[in-house]
Amino acid sequence: MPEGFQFLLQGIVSILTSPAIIHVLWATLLGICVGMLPGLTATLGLTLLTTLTLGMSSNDAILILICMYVGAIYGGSRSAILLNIPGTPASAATSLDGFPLARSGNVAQAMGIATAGSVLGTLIGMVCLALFAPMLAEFALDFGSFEFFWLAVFGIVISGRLTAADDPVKGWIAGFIGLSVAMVGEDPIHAYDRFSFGNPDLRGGFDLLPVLVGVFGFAEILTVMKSPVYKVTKNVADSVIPKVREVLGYWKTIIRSGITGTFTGIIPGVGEDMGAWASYAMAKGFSKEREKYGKGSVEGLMAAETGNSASVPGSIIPVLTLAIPGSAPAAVLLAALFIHGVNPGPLIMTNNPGLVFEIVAMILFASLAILVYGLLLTKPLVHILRVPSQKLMPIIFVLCTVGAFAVASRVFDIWVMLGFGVLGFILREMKYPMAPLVLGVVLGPILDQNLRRSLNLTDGELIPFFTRPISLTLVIIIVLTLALGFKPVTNALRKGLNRVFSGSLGNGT
Amino acid sequence: MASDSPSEHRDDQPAELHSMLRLDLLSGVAFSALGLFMAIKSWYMPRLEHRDVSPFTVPGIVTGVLGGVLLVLGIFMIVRAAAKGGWRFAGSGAAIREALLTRGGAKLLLTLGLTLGYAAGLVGRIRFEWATILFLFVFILLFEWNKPAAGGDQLRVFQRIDGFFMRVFGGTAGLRIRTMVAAAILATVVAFTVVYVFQEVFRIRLP
Repeated sequence: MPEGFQFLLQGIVSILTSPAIIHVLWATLLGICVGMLPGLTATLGLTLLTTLTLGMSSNDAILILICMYVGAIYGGSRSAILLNIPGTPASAATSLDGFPLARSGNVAQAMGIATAGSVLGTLIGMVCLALFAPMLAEFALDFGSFEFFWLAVFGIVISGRLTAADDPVKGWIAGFIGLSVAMVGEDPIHAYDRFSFGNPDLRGGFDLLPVLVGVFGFAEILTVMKSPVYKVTKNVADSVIPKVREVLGYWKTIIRSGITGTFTGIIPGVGEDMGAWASYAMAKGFSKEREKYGKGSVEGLMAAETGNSASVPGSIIPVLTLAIPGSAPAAVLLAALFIHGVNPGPLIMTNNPGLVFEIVAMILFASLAILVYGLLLTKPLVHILRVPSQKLMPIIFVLCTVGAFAVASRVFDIWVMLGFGVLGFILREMKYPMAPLVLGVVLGPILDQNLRRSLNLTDGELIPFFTRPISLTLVIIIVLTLALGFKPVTNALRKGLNRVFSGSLGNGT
Repeated sequence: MASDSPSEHRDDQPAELHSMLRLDLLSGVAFSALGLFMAIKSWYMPRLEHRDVSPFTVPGIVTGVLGGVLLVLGIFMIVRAAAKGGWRFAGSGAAIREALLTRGGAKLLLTLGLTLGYAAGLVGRIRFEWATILFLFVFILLFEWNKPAAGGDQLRVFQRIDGFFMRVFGGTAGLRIRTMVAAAILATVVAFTVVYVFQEVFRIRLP
């Protein structure tokens, strides 16, 4: 740990004493703008910036992407509070109490509380990243092909379950579509062309970034242009600086939501929106003012914003230690790390021990930047929401086209972006979540190689898949998640529990 | 007990649920077809026996399993939607036509046409700057033609510009000319800025 502290200090000093601080300022501000505009998500912002930073040094590129990530998740709260339209999916829970608070004339208070929640959530997540990433990396050193195979299955199952809570089957289908997409192209073991139909472009498979630009950029543009036009009617007249006593009054909620958000972020493919919802539900469960939730509860707003922001460092933890993303924006970060020659995974603390702590320093600066921007620039930033979608969306589409092309300078990738954009739009209209699909594209090669490697090791024997302790734990979680996703099972469980408890109450025990 | 049967509920179900059941049924058919296709293609992938390859590492093993899972999940969607009466609504094209004829549907089709026309038609065929200027200009103009944005929430400087055009050219015509001028300026500025930032600042190739 002292070594880690030394790396952290080095990271802080290197950002302070180099032009990197300029990157912190512009990338965080850009992130806030991207996050607050409905139709622009953190994933799209990160993807477009990944293409812009291709020629930069890896440290500058990672810093810019981290600042964009932190800024965009925070920025989503602005439109959630002012318009009742979450700028990013992560801010959906924020609008539940943020918008009623703003509507009742407390716009500035809502903005201030959201800023405080975001900063504190990011800082709690950051501390967890510094503490748990090295531990998880060490733990992951015991992972073999069996564990990585089950981890991939676990990611799809849990992501599908949590991102499509009403209908987990749709989440799982989305995940398996993503895995199938990853199978297109040359097989990594025998170099056989799978599903390429003789097309030389398909032989290389689908690049993750054009797929992401399509699913999160083009599909979003279609959704926004189809939706009714929104109007900004509120002005921020008062000071948005929250009272310290008011913020500290919610210290239990802040710590609970920060930790909940971070751990939700660690779960593969679940993301910041679930971090916010889980924190919100937990805060409501523990609250003494439950009746205020959904009607403008300051505590509810604080929980949602702390939760989604804490998920950002949380979702970076599996990126660095397992090379598995905790969310869709983290998937872009993972791709960017590979592009810049940084190989994350269980060996990260051996091969690149300083990276985790450099990223901690980057998150620290990004959170300080959102604090400054959130408190000082709220009023001018509201003007960005006035840009009409019919002017903004075609410009975003131009950037999507350039972004898809820039990764490999292939016109084919523009076609991939268009195809996945239309597919993503149709699937979203049918209530299929996108996060498991993206996770499937990332996890596909991991699942493919590790399943075949394991089967080769065991000569087709399946029992070793279930006998190793980590594998067995993952299998149990997967089976439980699957079972609880089917209504007949949950209904039977509920009836059984009711019978047990009513029986025991009836017996007076 | 009779009221538990799906047919009893069917008439009371809201239109949105009907539509979702129909979509679930259609998507179930599409995904099971995809799963079946993947499974069959995987079965015919080479087993590479002549290279003495382990049968457990052959290229089609994982794709076959994935195809099988998709097939099962797709069939589950079909059965579930059909059990709730989704098959009754599956053939009706009227709802789809109705959805496309709404204002949102028309905007969606226009957006799709313009974006596909730009990315798949213009880009790569003519210079990127000109393709972008043309796309942005036409897009903004078409979406603002019938309802040129004016006054209201705009900054005071834009309200003054609107006022100038309305005084000189009169009412809606003035606003439309202002929209054309604004669209042309915005399209040109954005196109050249994108080219400058990507090519000159970040040294990235453009299509």
